[in-house]
Amino acid sequence: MLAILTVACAGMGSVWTHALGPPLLVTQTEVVATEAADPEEEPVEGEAAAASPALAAEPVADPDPADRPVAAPVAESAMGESVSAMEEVKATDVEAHGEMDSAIAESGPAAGAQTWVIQKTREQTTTGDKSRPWHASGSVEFRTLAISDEDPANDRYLSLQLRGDFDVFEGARAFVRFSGTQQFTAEVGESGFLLQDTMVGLDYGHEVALDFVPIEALAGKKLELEHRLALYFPTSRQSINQDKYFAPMLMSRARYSVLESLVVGVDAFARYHFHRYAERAGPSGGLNTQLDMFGSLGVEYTVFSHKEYGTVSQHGISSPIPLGRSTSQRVAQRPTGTNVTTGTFTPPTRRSLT
Amino acid sequence: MTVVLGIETMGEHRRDGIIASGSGSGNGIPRFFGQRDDTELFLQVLGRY
Repeated sequence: MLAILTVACAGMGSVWTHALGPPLLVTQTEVVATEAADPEEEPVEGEAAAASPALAAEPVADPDPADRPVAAPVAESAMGESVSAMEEVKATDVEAHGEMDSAIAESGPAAGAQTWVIQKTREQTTTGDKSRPWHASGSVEFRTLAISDEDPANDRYLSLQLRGDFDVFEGARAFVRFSGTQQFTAEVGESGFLLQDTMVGLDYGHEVALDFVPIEALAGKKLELEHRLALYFPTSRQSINQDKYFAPMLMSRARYSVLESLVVGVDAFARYHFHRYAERAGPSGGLNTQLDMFGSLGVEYTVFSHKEYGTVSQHGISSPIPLGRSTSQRVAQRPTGTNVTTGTFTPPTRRSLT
Repeated sequence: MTVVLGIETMGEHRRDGIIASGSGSGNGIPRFFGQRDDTELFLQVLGRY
């Protein structure tokens, strides 16, 4: 059993985000326990490297195997066990801490299991056993407010995810992901389980050497990059109520290890929503979002790390920094006075562009 | 399999897509780091094959 302790810190992240972004900071503290991989199935160093070009290029011995996929390189002799351990633990957070898109999801608690954590880079392409081209993963997360009120059921939920992926080429994996939320409260006659939007897409991770930058401090350093191209399909209630067809998204993430224990990162995210109607249902539904673009900044500092006992690190993440947003103008407007639940829509009429 | 136990503050604020601007969250309630209703505990169990 490998245990990793990760502690989020406010201070450093706070400085970062206040200087460069909206003054909102998300911090996280984690204790991670990971079952050691089966030695027979554990990929050898070469296999792990083959599955992850970044690792192949430069083996990474991370003092924090759980959370630091972009950790600064250290002596290869220190790597043996930690590469596989790192890969194992990294993989666990593929979806649990995955994306900014979920972080800015419009559907509230459903995104709970996907809080973005800065150091989770490259996990998308290192999931699971490297000897197989396909992988499956799943997660269950329980969340609750730290301080409960008299009616805590409203503040607790389970977030569930299932993912299957397949190696397409080196560093790239096609995937499909299903997710849902189990609420502990529900309207009369309704289920507490809410299916979320289903995602199908491609993850690709790679590294860029920074040797070309004429700065001595960057010699030998690398920039870790991850990209995701995916489609959301409207399997959530909210998307169905908005008459959404699908929503392509593009996300890129960059991570840079300033020091062995200090990692900074940037996320950029864009999503385009295809709706049947420009407006949402209801008298005050408003216009559907057509395009949203966000950026986010983050920083992480590892205070303590031990291969067996865990890691203490601090991370802070800025709130999504809006880069652009628009509402629907080119799709048909929902006919006035109709109700989505009655199914009494008349054929949509095209709205003239203004 | 991995088990994660954690604490997070202001994550819900972020997940809901609320962009803080200065001292307000958009509803007139001042937000600050570590606010009790912005702090969550979570427990994850993750598995992969």
